[in-house]
Amino acid sequence: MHKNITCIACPRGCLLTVSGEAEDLIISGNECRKGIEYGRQEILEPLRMLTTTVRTTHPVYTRLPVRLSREVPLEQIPEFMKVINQVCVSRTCIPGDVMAVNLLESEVDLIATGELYYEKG
Amino acid sequence: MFFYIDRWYKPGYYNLSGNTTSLVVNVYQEDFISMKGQMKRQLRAVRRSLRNKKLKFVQVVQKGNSVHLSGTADRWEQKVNAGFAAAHKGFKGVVNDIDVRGVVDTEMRLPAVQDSLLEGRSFDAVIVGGGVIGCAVARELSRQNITIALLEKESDLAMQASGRNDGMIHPGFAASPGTLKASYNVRGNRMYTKLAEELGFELKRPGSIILFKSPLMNLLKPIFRRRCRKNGVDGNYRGLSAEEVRKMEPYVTESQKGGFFLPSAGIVSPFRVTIALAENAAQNGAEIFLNTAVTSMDVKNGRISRIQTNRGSLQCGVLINAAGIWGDKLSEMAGDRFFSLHGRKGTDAILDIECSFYQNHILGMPSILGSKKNHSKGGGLVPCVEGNILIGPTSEEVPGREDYSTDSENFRKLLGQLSINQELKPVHIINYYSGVRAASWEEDFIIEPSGKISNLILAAAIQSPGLASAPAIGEDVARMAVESLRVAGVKVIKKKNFNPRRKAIPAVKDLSPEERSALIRKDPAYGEILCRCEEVSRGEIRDALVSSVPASTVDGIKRRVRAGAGRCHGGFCLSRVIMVMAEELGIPITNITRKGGSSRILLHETKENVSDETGI
Amino acid sequence: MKQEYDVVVIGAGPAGLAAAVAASDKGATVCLAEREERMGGILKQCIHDGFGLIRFKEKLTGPEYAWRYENMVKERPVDFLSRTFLTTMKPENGGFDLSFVNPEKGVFSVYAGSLVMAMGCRERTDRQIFLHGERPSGIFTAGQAQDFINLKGYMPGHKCVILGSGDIGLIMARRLTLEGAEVQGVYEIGSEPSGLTRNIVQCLEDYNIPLQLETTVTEIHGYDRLEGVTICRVDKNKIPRRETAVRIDCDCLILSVGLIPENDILKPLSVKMDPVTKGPVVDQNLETSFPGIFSCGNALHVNDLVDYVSESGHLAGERAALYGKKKIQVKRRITLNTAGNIQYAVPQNLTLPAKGTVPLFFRPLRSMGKGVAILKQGERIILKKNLNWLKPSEMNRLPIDLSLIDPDGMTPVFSLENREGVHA
Ligand SMILES: Cc1cc2nc3c(=O)[nH]c(=O)nc-3n(C[C@H](O)[C@H](O)[C@H](O)COP(=O)(O)OP(=O)(O)OC[C@H]3O[C@@H](n4cnc5c(N)ncnc54)[C@H](O)[C@@H]3O)c2cc1C
Ligand SMILES: Cc1cc2nc3c(=O)[nH]c(=O)nc-3n(C[C@H](O)[C@H](O)[C@H](O)COP(=O)(O)OP(=O)(O)OC[C@H]3O[C@@H](n4cnc5c(N)ncnc54)[C@H](O)[C@@H]3O)c2cc1C
Ligand code: SF4
Repeated sequence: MHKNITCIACPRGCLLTVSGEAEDLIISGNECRKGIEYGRQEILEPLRMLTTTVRTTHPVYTRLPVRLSREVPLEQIPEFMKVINQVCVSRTCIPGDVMAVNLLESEVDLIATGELYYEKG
Repeated sequence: MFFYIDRWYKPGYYNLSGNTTSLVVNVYQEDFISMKGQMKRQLRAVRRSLRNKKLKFVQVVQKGNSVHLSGTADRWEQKVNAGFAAAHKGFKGVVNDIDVRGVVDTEMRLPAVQDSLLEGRSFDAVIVGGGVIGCAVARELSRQNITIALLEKESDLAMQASGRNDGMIHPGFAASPGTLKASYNVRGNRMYTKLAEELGFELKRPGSIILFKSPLMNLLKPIFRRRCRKNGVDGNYRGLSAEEVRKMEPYVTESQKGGFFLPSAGIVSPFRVTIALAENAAQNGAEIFLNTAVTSMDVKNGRISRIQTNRGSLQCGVLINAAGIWGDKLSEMAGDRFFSLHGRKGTDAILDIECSFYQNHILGMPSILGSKKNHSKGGGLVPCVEGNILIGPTSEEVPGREDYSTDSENFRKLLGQLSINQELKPVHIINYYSGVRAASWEEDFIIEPSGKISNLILAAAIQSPGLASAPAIGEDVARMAVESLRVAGVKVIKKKNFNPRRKAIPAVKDLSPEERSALIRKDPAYGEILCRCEEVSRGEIRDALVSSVPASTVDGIKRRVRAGAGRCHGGFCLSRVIMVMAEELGIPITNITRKGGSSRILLHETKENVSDETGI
Repeated sequence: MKQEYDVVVIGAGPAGLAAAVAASDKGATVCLAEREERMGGILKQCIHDGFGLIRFKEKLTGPEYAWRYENMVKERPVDFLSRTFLTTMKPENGGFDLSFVNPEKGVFSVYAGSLVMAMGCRERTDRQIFLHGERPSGIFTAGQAQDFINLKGYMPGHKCVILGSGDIGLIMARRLTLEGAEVQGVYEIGSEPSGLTRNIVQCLEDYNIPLQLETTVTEIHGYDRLEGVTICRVDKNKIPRRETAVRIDCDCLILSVGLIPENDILKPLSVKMDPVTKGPVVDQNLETSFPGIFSCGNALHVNDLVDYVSESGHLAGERAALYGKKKIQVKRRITLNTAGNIQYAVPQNLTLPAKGTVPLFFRPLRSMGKGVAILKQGERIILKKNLNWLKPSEMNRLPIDLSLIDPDGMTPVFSLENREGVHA
C-alpha cells in the first residue's frame, strides 16, 4: 500500500506518505511526531464527526441542526446520512438533547445542536 | 397615407404580395412613371454605395418601396456595413436579409405557457409589446372607452430594452434636427414632469454636461446652441468653461476642457416608469397579458383579422406594433415588411450608492463628436434616481436579438468611462447588464400607420432616446390607433372617469419617521426589513405581489421595490424574499423563479426522497 | 420617550453577544439590537463543527456555540430587540441618537452613550469578481447556499461547481454532497487554497472532490437556469488562458470568493476605514476614529475563528462600557505601522498611555515557513516571537503588553521577517 495524505494536526500541513501494511506502517514526510499518529489513524480508520439537519414539523424552522454523539468511521457517513434523513422532529428541544439513540446499532446517538420551540398544546 | 408601388394599378383592392391584399389609392400614371425612374436611380445609388464599401457580394432588389439586400457575408460586420450603405438612398426602408456564415438567425424566445386564455376574445386595440412604448400607448388609449389588451411575451413588463437602459430622459440635443427622434425626444422630455407627478414615479432633472476633451471643442458651442434651438431643447442650455464645470462637478477629470450644459436632461427608473404606465392603464380598464407572445397573424382584405398567440387566438380592431427588437418580425407577420431591425448591444454598470456623493450631473465625454461611425450616443456617467451612479452604455452590433450576456472585452471598454470622474473605481461596481437596441438601418423611429395594413400602427425601431420619447410616442400612436378605429366605424369617445393618477407602493425608507411609524402601526409588515442594503420592508414586497400588474418573479420584485438591488446583490435577502413570495402567492417555494420560464431558484427540499419517517 | 442606554450593541452574532455580555458585566445598561428574529448571526447556519476550541476547549457546532452565548446574554439584564433594524445614527450630547425600525414599535429612537458595531460581513458576489456571460438563475454565494440548505431545507442545485476555495465554499462542497448533490469541482484562481487545510482534507479529499488551483470560471451559460460554465487556467497575472477553456455542465455555481465587513452605516460619520481590512481603523480598545463607536467581529475584519470574534466582542463591549464612564484617558493616538510580510494588523492604532495586554491580530501577506514577528519602537524591541508556518488564510494572534510602549516614543512598527538563515 502507498498513499499520500495531508496532515492536519497543525497548520503546517505536511504531505505524508504512508506505505507498508496495517501492522507496520511506514510514514514519511512528517515534520514532527504528531504526524505519525495522525497518519496512522487516517490510514487505519479515519474518524469524522457528522453534522447535518433533520426535518421538523415546525411551521417556520423546518430543519433542525444535529450531530452525532461521537466521531464515526468516514466510510459509514453515507449510511448515517440515510438514517438521519428519516428523522422528523416534532417537539421542543435544545442543543444537547438526544434526538435518536443507537443509530445503525453502533451506540451512536443523534444530538440536537439547535433549539426548537413548540407552543404547548 | 401614401405608398409606392412598382406597377400601375387602378384604385381598388389588389393582391400585391402573395397572400395580402392592399388598398391602392389614387396614384396617377405620370407620377408612377416618374417614381419608377426615381427608384432606378435610388437602386443605383445603393449599389454604388455597396461597391464603395467593397461589399460586392450583396444582391439588391427593390420590393415595394423598400430595398432588400441578400447574399452571404463572412462576418457580421459586413452585413451591418451593407445595411448602413443602403440606408438613406431614398427608399422607405432597408430590409437586410444577408446571411452571415456561421451565424444562425435568432429565434424569438417564446413563453412556456400554452393555454387558451385568450381564445375567442376580441379587443378594440391590441398592443404587442410591454416595453415603455407599448405601456405608454396603453395608458393613452385607456383614456378612451375602448377595450384594450397589451400582450407581452416575457414574464414581466420591461424585460427587454425598457428594463435594460440608462434611464436617461435626454434633453433632445443629440438627435439630428428634422428627425422623428429629435421631435419626439424634446416633446417626451417635457411631458415627463406631469407624468411623474401623476404616476408617482421619481423623476430628477440633474441636467447633463457634455465634457470637451480638447480646447478646440469650445468652438463648437455656437453650433451646439443652434442645434438646441432647432430641436427646441428646453432650459437654459449653455457653454461652460473648464472652471465652471469643476465648480459644478468637483471630482470631474482633470482632462476636461470645458463643456456644454443641458439642464433639461432628466433621469428615471425605466422599468418603474414602464410598470407605472401599465398599472395606470390597467386601473383604467386595459388588460395586461404577460407570458403571451404573438406568433402569427391572419390578414384579410388588408386588415389583420386574427392574432395567434400561445394562449389562443384573438381579434382586434387595431393592432399596435410596439414589439421592440421584434418589430420587423411583427410587421412581417402582418405582411408589411418594409424595414428590418438589427440588434445593437449596450452594456451598463451600476456603482455602489456610496459613490452618489461624487457626482451631481449626467456627464459624458464623447471622443469624436458627431462621429458617423458610432450610431448610438457615446455613453457616460449617469446618477440614477436611487443615487447609484451608472456607467454606460457601450455600443456593439450583435446578431443575437435577445443576447443579454456581458463579456469582459466590452466591460473593459465600459470601465474606460470611469475616468471621467476621478473618484470612481471598478471596485465600486455592484452590478452590470446588457440591453439590445432595436435599430433600423435608417436610424430613426418608425411611428406611423402601416401603408399596407389598415389596422396596423407601427411604433418600431425605437432605440435611444426611446425612453425619453415614450410619452410623446404614446400620445401620437394612440391617436393614430383611435383614428384607425374610427375609420373602421368604431365609435371612440373619451372616458369620463379616466383616472390619470396611480398610487405607487410606498418606499418606506423615504418616509418621514412619523409617516413611517403611522404606516407600520397600521400594518406591521412595513416595519419588517427584509432587504438590508436597500431597506425594503416585507410590506412593500407584498404590495408588489398584489399591485394591478403584479410581480411574479424575484426580478420583478427587485425592479418594483428594489429588494436585492443593492450591494449584496440579494445575498442576504434572496431567501427571505422568496419565502415571502411563496407565502403570499400560496405556491411552493420551489416554483419561484428569478425571471420566469425555467429560471427556478430552488430545486427541491432536502431529504425529499425519504419516504418512511421516524417520528421523534 | 426615548430609551437611554450606556451601551447599544448592533448585531447579535457572536461578536455582538460577547460585547453585550461584557458591557453588562462592567455594569453598563445594555441594549442589543438584531435585525433577525433570533440571536446567533451567521453561526445559525454554520451547522458544521470546529467552533470554540479556544474559548470552550470543545469542538462545537455553530448553533451550539451561539446558544452558549445566547444564554449568557439572557442571564444578564440586557434588553434584546429582535427584528430591529438600525437605520441612522447621529452624534448627540456626547453619545448617539439611534433610529431603529421594527414591526412592533415602528420608527423609534434610542440614546446610546457608546456604540458597539457588530454587524458582521457580507459575501462578495459574482458581480464583484466580474463574472460574465449569460444571466441565469442558479448562481449563489456559499453563505446563501448554506442558508438555503441548512436553515430553509432546500437544494439550490444538483450538479454544482464551486468557485473559490474559501472555507464556506469548502464546507458547502461537503454539505451539498451529503445532501445528495454532485460537486464537480472547486476552482481557485490563486496558487494556494484560501481555506484551511483541515477543510481541504475533510470536505474535499474525503469526498473525492477535485480542487483545481490557478483556474477560474470565465463564462456563464444558460438563459433561464444555469446550464454550464467555462473554466480556464490562468497565468501568473491571473489572466485566463483562453486556449485552456473547458465547458463544464452544471446547474449550480457556488461562489466562495471573499467576505467584506459590513460598515455602511458608519459612512455618514466619516469613520476612518482601513482599505485592506475594509473595516474601521481601531485602537487597542477597538474604538474607531469616532469617539464612542467601537467595532468587533467580522465587521472589524474578517475572522476565520469564531473564538477570536468573541474575544474582540468582549473587548469592545468592555471598553464601550468604560467609555460611558469616561474611564479611558486619552493622551495620544498613534498608528501602529506594519512592515515586512504583513497583510494587515488590527488594531491599527494605539491610544497611549496604556496598560495591560491586548491581542494583536494579523495576517501574513504570503505563506511563510519560519518567521519572526517583531514589535519595535525605534530601535527598541518590545516583542520578538518566532512563528512557524504562517498562511494568509489563517489569522494569527499575538498578545502585546502595552505598558512596554513608551507613550512619548516613536511610532511602533510591527513586522514579520524571515528568520535569519531559514528559508521557507
Ligand atoms: C443599453 C441601452 C441604454 C439606453 N439608454 C437610454 C436612455 O438613457 N434614454 C432613452 O431614452 N433611451 C435609452 N435606450 C433606448 C430605450 O431603452 C428604448 O428605446 C426603449 O426602451 C424602447 O422601448 P420599446 O417598448 O420599444 O421596446 P422594449 O422595451 O424592447 O419592448 C418591446 C417588448 O415587446 C415584447 N415582444 C416582442 N415581440 C413580441 C411578440 N411577438 N409577442 C409579445 N410580445 C413581444 C418584448 O418582449 C419586449 O418586452 C437605451 C437602450 C439600451 C439598449
Ligand atoms: C459562512 C461562514 C462560515 C464560518 N465557518 C467558521 C468555522 O467553521 N469555524 C470558525 O471558527 N469560524 C467560522 N466562521 C467565522 C465566524 O464564525 C464568523 O466570523 C463569526 O460568526 C462572525 O461573527 P459576527 O458576530 O462578527 O458576525 P455575524 O455572525 O455575521 O453577526 C452579525 C449580526 O448583525 C446583524 N446586523 C447586521 N446589520 C444590522 C443592522 N443594521 N441592525 C441590526 N442588526 C444588524 C446581523 O443580522 C447578524 O445577526 C465562519 C463565518 C462565515 C461567514
Ligand atoms: S506532521 Fe507535524 S508539523 Fe507536519 S503537519 Fe503534521 S503536525 Fe504539523
